[in-house]
Amino acid sequence: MKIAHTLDSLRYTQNEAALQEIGSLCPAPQPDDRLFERSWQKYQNTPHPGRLRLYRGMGIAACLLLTVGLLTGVYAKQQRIETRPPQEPAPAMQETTEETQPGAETAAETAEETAAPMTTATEAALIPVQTQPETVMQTTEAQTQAVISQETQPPVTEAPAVQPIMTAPAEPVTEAQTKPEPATEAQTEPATQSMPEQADIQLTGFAVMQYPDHKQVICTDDFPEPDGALEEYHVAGHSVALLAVTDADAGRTYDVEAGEKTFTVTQREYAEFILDVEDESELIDLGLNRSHGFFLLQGETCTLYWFRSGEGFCMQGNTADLISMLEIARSFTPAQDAAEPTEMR
Amino acid sequence: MTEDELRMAVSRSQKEGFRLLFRQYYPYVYHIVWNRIRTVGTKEDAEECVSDIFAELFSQFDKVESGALQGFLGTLARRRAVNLFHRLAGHDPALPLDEEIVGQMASEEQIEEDLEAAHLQKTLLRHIRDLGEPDAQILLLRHFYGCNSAEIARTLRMHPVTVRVRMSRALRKLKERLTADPDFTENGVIP
Repeated sequence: MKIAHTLDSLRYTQNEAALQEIGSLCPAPQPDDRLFERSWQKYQNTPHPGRLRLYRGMGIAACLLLTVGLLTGVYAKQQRIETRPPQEPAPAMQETTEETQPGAETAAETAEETAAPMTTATEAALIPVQTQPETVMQTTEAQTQAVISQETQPPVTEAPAVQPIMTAPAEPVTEAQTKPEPATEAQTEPATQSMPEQADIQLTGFAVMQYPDHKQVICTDDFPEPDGALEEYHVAGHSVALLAVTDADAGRTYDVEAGEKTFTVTQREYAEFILDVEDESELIDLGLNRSHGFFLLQGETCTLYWFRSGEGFCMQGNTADLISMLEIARSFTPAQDAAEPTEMR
Repeated sequence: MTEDELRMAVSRSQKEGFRLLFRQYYPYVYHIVWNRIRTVGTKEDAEECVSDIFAELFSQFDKVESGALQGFLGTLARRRAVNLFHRLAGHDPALPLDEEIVGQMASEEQIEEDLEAAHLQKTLLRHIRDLGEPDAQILLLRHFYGCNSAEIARTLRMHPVTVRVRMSRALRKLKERLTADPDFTENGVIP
């Protein structure tokens, strides 16, 4: 036992020479496969370096994304701050602004609602609509074409035969009639912004207003309250012959022959007459006995309007037919005044 | 096997290559680890530490430059062994081992005892070497490394029974020689 104890003391020696002696005398013990398998299992359970690189790369990418996101957010915030007005309004001013904003918002909303379908013509025409929104006759250039095309086709059956209130079929006017107040609010400011001026053109019985991009012809007659009863007219002239008279919803139409050509004249009651025309259009004053009118020349198209006793007449043809159209207009005389001749002023 | 042969073996079959590598370098690594922890640890502690070292070597095998395998393994073994020593001894890892050793050898009496012990160990080792192979190896494997008969047999490629018989005879011979040595009898090491 004693010698075994002496030998065990070798294990605890700190003597380098003794350790070197032991190392030279005896090899370290050889392993068995059990120890290798333990190392192998530990190696298998160790995260693979490639996997570690993948995780590290994903972590770096996530950090970069987070950093970029934060920087972008900060930059956007900074941009918003920079775009703000430099001076904040005083608290009292803020309150005032808040108090007045609802009305402004309403006006803005109303303007958005009404501005989309509005044309320049209807914008200007909405001013008289305020007073008598239901009795306004709105006729834009396009509407004029449509109305004329309808008028040139005598059997019109869409509108009632007697219509006290003449309304244009175009949608913008309809919208203005259905929403008169918002339209008024919305259009008051634009109307003042583009205040029309009196045009150089003088038309008897009409006011011609000049807008930036168009002209507007307004009849200055005092139209009587429409009663749905159109006055009867006779057509009598040297080279004019009445072919047919048709009562339709849109008014009364006269098929008149002049110079081997047939024209259609439409007679209507008007509550108010406003017509928008292009700047390039030509207006020619036309003086008739107890009536007044004008030619509207647009390219090769010639339209003649004349008014008498609150009723209006419209006729369309070519510029070459101007004399014939004038002759037809002169030949229209009220039945009660049939005996009196019409003559040029 | 050379390092290049081991690398070729690993490239052919990773597990078998690592097995050959393990067998070849295990004594070297075990020696380093055991020399560091033998005063505070057990054989099982050393085996666990060695298995950790080889697992780390396997995972970093591709990074080890050619010709640097043994150096890498030795460095890794020393670091791991030092860490294990501190853990087992409950020492502050930040404290260098040399300072601890100096602290242990601080007193003059301790120095004299160590010198005397060193002299006796040197004499003992001389008697063990005189026993010749494989008796000297059997005694050292048993008493220095703490191996049992089976482990000694595997290391020395002997039968375990033969190991036990030779160990018994070697102890008897060594006792006779130490009894005849005055260094041991005068100091009372051998009665």
